[in-house]
Amino acid sequence: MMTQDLIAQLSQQPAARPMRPGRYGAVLVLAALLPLLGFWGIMGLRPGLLQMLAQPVVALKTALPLFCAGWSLFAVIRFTRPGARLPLWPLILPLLVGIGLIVYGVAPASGSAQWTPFYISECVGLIIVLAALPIVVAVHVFSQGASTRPGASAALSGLAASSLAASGYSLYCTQDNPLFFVIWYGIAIGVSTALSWGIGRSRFSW
Amino acid sequence: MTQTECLWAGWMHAALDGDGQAYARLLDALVPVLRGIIRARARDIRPDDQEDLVQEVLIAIHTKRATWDRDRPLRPWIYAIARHKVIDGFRKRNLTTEDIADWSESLPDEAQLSQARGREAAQDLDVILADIDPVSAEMIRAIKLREEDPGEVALRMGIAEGTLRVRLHRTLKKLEELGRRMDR
Repeated sequence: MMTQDLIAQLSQQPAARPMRPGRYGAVLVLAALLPLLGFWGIMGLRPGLLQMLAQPVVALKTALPLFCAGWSLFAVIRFTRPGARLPLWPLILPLLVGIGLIVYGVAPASGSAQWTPFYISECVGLIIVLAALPIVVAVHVFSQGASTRPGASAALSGLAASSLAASGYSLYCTQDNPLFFVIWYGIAIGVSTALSWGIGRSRFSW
Repeated sequence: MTQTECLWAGWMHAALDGDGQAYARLLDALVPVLRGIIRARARDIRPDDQEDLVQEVLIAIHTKRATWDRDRPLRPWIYAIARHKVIDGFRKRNLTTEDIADWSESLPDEAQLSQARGREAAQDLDVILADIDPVSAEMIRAIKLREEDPGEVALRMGIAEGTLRVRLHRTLKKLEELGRRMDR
């Protein structure tokens, strides 16, 4: 086809509705909340949640993945527009804080960690399961943009979804030792992010 | 914002509001720029491949036009899409990765693009002017290219200024038609 014919054809097509990336973010948060609400409805929240959250270490168990979710969501929204740039180094901060907690042996005043295969697989497995739906939704909605970094966008979609799932799961989880939650939450988030990158990056190609 | 960018952005605004003519004008204006970019980065690319690549970029711009934020400049958006699609196109056509990496680092600036556009436009115009009668061709060169005073040109050609303006208008119409046929 001649270029001039192509232009004539393209210019006759109906106007496109402007993209609203903020809505994509809202859709992802809703998609993350849906399984979490079901989970909390069945399993309940941990006993004495508010008192436990008053302890900085326990609060960090929720806050660190929440920060990760916030930044990665912000980044993946930005990347829906071609040529957008945003530093990704802030995503290392929660990990550094988590490692700091482990290295300095910070432990909550109360609460514990049970290093049994059951609790480990419960933690990792449930976070991955809770992240599945939001990952699928995130890849679907954000791939409607025009990311010039498809791999990064796919990974960020997974990171945002799984970090939201981990934050929500932390309100149920009674394993308060940083050594436990930094390692196992980190592994669950990492696996989900890798899966999202592996499965989703082709969806971001255009 | 440069004049070109203002013009492009105006067309894009109108296009997103449903003005197909403005959209066609924008895509038309982008074609020589895209050809210049592609030619500058892959001199050994076959003309067919080059035109295919131009069309791929145009289709990408069209498909992703909703991702342009009206509050932001248009040029970086267009160049980001062009760079993304051209790199992709180079890969598909097995052009050397050095070319791709080099290109991804440095987009031609406005001056380079203007030069490329200017060279291309001059070549096209020479071809078109050869197709019309010599008096009309000289009229175009004098008034539109050398920006001479129409009164002086009319005097030199021995015709009334009003007649010159009428002939100039007709010639420009004819050139427009010839240009369209050349693109096809």
